[in-house]
Amino acid sequence: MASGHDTIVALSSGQGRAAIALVRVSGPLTRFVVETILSKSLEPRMAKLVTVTEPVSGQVLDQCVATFFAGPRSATGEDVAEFGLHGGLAVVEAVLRCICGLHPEIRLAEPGEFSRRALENGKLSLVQVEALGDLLEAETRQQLAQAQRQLSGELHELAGLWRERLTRMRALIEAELDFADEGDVADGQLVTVQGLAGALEADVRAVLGTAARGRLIRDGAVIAIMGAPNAGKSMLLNALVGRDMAIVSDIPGTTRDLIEAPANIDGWPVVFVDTAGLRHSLDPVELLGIERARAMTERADVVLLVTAPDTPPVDHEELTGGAEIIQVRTKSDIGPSSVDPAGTAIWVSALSGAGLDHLKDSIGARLRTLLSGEPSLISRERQHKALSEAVDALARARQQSAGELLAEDLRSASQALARLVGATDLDTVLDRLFAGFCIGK
Amino acid sequence: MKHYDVIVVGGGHAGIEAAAAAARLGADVALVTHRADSIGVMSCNPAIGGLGKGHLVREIDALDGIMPRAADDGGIQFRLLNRKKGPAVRGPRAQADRKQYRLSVQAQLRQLANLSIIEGEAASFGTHLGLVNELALSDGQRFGCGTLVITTGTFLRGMIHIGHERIPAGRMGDSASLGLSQCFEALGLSLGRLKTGTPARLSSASINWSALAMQHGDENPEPFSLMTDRLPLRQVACGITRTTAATHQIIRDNLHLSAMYGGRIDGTGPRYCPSIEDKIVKFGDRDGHQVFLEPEGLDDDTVYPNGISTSLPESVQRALIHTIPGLEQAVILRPGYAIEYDYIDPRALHPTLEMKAVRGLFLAGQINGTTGYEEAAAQGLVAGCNAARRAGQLDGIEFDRSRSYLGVMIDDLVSRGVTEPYRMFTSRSEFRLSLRVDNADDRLGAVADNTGLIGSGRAARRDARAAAIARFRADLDSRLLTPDEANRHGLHLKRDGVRRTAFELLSHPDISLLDLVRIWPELGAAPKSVAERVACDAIYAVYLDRQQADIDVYQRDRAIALPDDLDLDGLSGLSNELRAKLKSVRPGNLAQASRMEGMTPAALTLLAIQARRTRRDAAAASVGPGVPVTAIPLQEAVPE
Repeated sequence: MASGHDTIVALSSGQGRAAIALVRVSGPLTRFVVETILSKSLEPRMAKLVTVTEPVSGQVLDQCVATFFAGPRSATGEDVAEFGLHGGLAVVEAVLRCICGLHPEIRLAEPGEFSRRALENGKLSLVQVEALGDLLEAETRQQLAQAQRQLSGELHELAGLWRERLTRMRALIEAELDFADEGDVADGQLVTVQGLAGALEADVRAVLGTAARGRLIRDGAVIAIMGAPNAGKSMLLNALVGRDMAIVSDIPGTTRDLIEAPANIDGWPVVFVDTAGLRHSLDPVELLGIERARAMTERADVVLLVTAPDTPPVDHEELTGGAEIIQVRTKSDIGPSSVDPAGTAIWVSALSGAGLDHLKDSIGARLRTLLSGEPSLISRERQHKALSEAVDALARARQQSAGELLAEDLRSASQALARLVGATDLDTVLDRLFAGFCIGK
Repeated sequence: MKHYDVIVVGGGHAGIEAAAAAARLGADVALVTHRADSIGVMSCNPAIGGLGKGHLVREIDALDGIMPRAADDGGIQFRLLNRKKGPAVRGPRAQADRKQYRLSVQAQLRQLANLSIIEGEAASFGTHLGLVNELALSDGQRFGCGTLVITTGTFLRGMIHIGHERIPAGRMGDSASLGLSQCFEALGLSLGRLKTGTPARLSSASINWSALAMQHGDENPEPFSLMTDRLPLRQVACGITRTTAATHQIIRDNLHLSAMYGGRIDGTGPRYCPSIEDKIVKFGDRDGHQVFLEPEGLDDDTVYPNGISTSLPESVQRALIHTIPGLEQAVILRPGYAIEYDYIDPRALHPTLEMKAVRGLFLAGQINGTTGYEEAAAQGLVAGCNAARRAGQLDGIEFDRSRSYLGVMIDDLVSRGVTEPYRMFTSRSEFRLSLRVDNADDRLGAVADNTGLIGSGRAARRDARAAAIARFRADLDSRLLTPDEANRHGLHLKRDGVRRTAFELLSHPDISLLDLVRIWPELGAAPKSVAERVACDAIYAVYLDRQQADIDVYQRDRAIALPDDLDLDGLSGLSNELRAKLKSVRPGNLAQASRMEGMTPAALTLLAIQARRTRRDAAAASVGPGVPVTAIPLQEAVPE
């Protein structure tokens, strides 16, 4: 929930691709933000070339010009920092995520919030105040049009249906809380509502999962290494991440379970997953591993389909997910493997390192495709945040055994979805309740 | 002409608290009512409290009101509802002996030296320069007043319906009030019509009690008031029965005779207090509806059959009642009826319950579109307090919805108006976990002290209890346990090496006060009510932290005042619909505006800007021309 003491951050320049994207931070933790991501403090009102670094991973996000304004001599009257990032969408989103993740009291700004703080701190002159009404109106129309564009179709409709489901759940639980003593309200709604909350959580989570870019940036893209047994998948993994993550042997079927290794490609976080070789097997343990490998095709963003000169090719048809597939020919040092009619395969030798950079470039190119998004960057971020909050609240609700706390969690989820669709949350719970239960002695 | 600081019209639950509150603040008060011996009559069901309503009663008690003690004095069956559920949604409820309740109210009022009772019917009020200054009675008497509180309940153009019969009355046996409605209309205020109903009353002697299931009260009844040490009356049980298929058939066959369904009533009735006709029409698939048979007193033959309020003709009422098990031979002492009455759109009120159109005129209770004794009493207390303060040239007191159900109710009323009689539910509060029946004293203590509503006797008890709670809490905070130590005591905690205080342990769902007493037996010495109170705080600790953030946002918006003369026409960017709504409601602050229907974030920002501009203009005007305005360039581009 928004609080006036939070530090807020937002992209303050226009949407879409631009040479420079201005990200502005305002609030009491601004100095903390500056010192954490720049590893130094800035002299007020002096523009400076700085390097923005994600403090935990140490990953460099951008080099840019930053300026710090100490409150009250700033646009909002609070401490303010401005970062003129290189306008790539991914860079802006990564920086916003990084800043929001620094502290629980840092969050994305609500619409109009910078203006509001300026206003509260007496930073707007009379003339400006007069102009602001028109400005806000225009902005609101634009927001509305944009929101409608973004939320047109499925997501908007879905959010409406989810809110409806939430209202139903809330009515069930509120009936038990507020009318236990009267009317035909049966006890035991709690378990029903827990179940409904769990089902809704799964549905919202599924949609949240399709917000691929958000997840890609937060968790890293999942890159599955798949292929026939003994095609050199584990060796490739070790070569790609630069350390021994998987046991390598000549015995086919050495890798039984999924092995995950986080790494960095072109500055993007990724998770390589080594999988069991795909073949017909009677070994129950290996079969389980193979099953998990196949399941990876649903989860992976990119699949490295590995073949070696000495192993049979794997049937494309087996990979049912929507992942990007990169054909990789391993063991290039021992000779050419099966044919590559399209000529798109990348030849590597994990042993000598030959072709590895080429492969990484190819992965990087796919990631850029995956990560390049639509112009509505911030809204998407807000939607993602709202959906995540709803999911978190529903996850609590699903396990909540106290009715009034369950109701509280559902209220939070409702509020989050209301923010998503930009609705004022008029309380329709009682309407629903009275329609469904005969209340009253 | 005799003059009073405050005159209160109406001797119902709102009028009682209004008169008593004003008198507690030292005002010279007159209470005008038809009959002095009817003060404190329970016109409908013989019960006080319940879910949400019980919260209001405890808040009234925190402000030293009349209702909680009268309910304790008259209570003949106490039950804490939702006992098995969380403490935030528990609600104390009591069946009351009507006569004892009324007598207790009257005795309490007699203790107030500066309160006079005037028997008569209020006919009209007079104003001078927009300020109320006079009340005239129908017998020609006139009284001067500093402020006036009107609490006429269902009496404004009250109309009773029994089948096709229509009887102008404020309550069965009491005449309706017409003059005041005309006074309000003369002020250009819009009056609406609401409807409520009551069931037939039965003779206890004619009921076959042996055929019925009985519901008993709590073994250890908990009083409403902190001032009550023991409950004086014998405790009794209620009977429970159900309507049958035959009952439903009779209702269906005679629906056209019902005042409600015969098209004779325009007013909107409450959905949570439906007539039996409503229940059959809307929920006819149910095989039966519960009926509670509540004795109206220890030495009273009257029984209130809770659940079958009706406006069917008396003969049909008799027939349908006789189809209910246990009531086959029941004798009707008085038929049930529906009553329609005028109410005033509460959006015409400030949160102090003073009318915007007339200074010094306060409204409380059903006239504001609420239903229920508790809702009426709570408003009466606020109106009486503010009427006395206004008469004494003091600022009005506004109750905060993050601090009390009282605040929730008044904010709902003045911000959103009503579409049906308004009743309190715990679900109406977004801060429910913070507003509990066990912490009303903490929430309202400051208001009680600052206004002087609370007497020294009650304040002393409250402070002693608060000190005991603080001591117990400090004790729990000072006891530490490592996970390993806790595990040795049989408490299973994550082995994270973090030492936890006894209070933190208590916040675990699986750890109870008893577990702590097992570890530290001396904790068992704390009084039960004190220990339970601290345990409730612990249960909700995590959620209360989260809720505090919501409360902070609300408080911030509440602090941004929107002046009465805010120029809404000069505000570009506001939709006409919203402008019209704002003009009629005139929210007093940004938080209130945000709760209006159809409000948008952009409109709220505009309002805040305009409020600031108005203040600046006012400041500039008072300082004179030539005041430099600091111009700081607007470098703002708002996200999205």
